[in-house]
Amino acid sequence: MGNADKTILVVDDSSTMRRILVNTLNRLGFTQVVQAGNGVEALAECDKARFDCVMTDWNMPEMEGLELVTRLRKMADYQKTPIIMVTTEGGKSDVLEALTRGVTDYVVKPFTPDVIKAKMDRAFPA
Amino acid sequence: MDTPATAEALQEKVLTAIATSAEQAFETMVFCPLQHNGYVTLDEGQPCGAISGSIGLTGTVQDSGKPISGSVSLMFEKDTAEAMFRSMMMMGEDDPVVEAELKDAIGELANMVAGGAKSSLQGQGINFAIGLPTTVIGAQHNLSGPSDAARFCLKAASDKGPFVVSVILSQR
Repeated sequence: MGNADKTILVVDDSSTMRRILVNTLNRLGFTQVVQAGNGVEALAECDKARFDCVMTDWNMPEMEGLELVTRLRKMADYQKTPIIMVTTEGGKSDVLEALTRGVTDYVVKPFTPDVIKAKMDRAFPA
Repeated sequence: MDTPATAEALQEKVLTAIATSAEQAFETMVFCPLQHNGYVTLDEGQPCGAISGSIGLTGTVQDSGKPISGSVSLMFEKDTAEAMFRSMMMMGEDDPVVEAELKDAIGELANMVAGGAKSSLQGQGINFAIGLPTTVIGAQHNLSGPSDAARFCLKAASDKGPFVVSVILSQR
């Protein structure tokens, strides 16, 4: 199963950041990318389809990223799904809290495309 | 952990963290290295611009429990902001820019600058929370803050044009 077969959900309230992530993922061969603007929208998308990976921001209106992660981990389909948090919250205690809450991997903004590639390689080892 | 002992030292640490974070954010996300000569103090008024993105900061100094609050703002003329946006999105030089997308991008840049500073300061005994970004578009608007707050301005130059990083800090 190659990158083109994987479905990715990108969750961020910033349309700019979603566009940057979608462009980066597309260049890595992940062409099936769905976008959501906050945790509530993300859960609605997860009701409609099963995603192979979720990339989510932390600070968002309506429902923040950590609450989304907590709710996803309670769903049978998402207990082992890679969830990558992409956020400006880069302090050591922030990373620890996110990992404790069920985040698989962590990207601090600003990031380069190489960082996203490394995280996706880790999420989907060859 | 080296917690700053004086108000001036605390201020210096916060300003340095914000400047460093701005350099990283613009170089990494906008592909646009910055040049600047450090901050100048503003006794009255604020720089003007056509589009600004701001983030509120509230926090405490870890050892003393003293409060610190303020804001970080990025302020651009419209041409500079649009050039930054096109670079960030890898668009062509003449591609049209949608105003709503421009506002979002400037807010996100402010978010990254404040977030990077917050992370850096956490290891130096200064714990901040940051708000969600707000963006204002309007010819020659300026930004105000509490009258007792210290105001600083970092005038940045780049190949996309000049812009301003404005910082307001209150230690009361």
